[in-house]
Amino acid sequence: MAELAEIFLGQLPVRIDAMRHAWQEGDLTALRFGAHQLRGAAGGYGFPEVGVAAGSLEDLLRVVGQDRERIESALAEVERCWRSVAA
Amino acid sequence: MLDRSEHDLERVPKVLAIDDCTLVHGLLKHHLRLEGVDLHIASTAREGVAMAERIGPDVILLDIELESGNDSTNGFEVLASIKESSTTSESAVIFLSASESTADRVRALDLGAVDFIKKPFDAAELCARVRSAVRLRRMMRMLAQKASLDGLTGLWNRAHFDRRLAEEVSESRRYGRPLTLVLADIDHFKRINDRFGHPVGDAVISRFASILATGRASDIPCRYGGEEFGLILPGIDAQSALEVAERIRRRLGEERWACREALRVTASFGIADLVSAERAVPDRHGSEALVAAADEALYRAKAAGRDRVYCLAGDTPPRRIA
Repeated sequence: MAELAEIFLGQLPVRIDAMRHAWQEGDLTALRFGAHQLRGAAGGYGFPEVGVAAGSLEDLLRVVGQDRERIESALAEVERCWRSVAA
Repeated sequence: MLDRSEHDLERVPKVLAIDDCTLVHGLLKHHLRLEGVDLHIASTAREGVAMAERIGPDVILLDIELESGNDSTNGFEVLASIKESSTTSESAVIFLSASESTADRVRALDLGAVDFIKKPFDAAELCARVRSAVRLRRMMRMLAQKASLDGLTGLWNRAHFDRRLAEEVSESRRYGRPLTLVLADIDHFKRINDRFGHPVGDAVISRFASILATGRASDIPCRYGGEEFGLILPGIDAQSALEVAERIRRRLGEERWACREALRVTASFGIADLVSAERAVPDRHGSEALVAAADEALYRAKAAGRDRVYCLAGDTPPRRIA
């Protein structure tokens, strides 16, 4: 399992950065895609909390014209989860 | 040559995963590495369909929400094209999805998927479901093969004989290579049954079948019916077929039958090659001409006193049989 965690933690910063970047650029499709992928895989790597946070973000983005503050806070939650598992 | 891999039940199972997420690729590689499967991975719908067509996977793990660039083909559409192709229609498809929707699962199964794994997936469950799908595929292949085998002898049956002979006639014409058919019939089989009983008759048929089956891998030994057998010899000319049949005839004569010292078994053989057969039986074509000509040669072998091999030569027209 340690080997798997290493793979995941190695990939995570790039993915989180890409999501943050997409959000800044207003590319909601890319943001949702990033959240979708984390949702499906994070649990499998032993980080279910990251997957759950990414799932909430993806669900928010399914609604057109979603409130920006809710998106911002859901993304921040994904980042917070990442920092806590990476620590 | 025709593809015979469908008959190879022991080969390493091929698994194709079609998923757009490299994180999932990593998980699948990690979890399936001890399962003894040959794992292939595709990231897009297009790549997945092409790869499936190329390798003919036993099991396909398919993501529903495939998204990549401007290709918006989803897993359901991929499943539909997989089911349309004859190379991949028999592959066991397992959906892999984070979807919470019952409707998605129902749709996937109704479209022909065999199973559904919810993401995030558990490693042990993933492996168990892949093993189950591999077993299912193996059983399907076994059934397909069973339907072509003769129960007593394990040789190919009559239905398979008819199918393969027709295929080999086409191959022979396409590649201009010889094709020869040997028809064999155990002599006085009824007498053997009457004198020694049916179990001994069955044993004689089985023993003859096993002698018939000792040729090259490309030979196609079949039980044509009752005590009659057909040996399709692709790439073999009549002269070589004559030697093959003569060897079988001699081996049968040398057989020792335990507990039945009085038993002596012989067989008669009729041989024809495709070119001579079509010349000799002008009103028939292909496999029909071949069977008729070999049957005529077999009849002559019987009429000449049995326990011998007759070959139909191209320039002697066969005698009509009433």
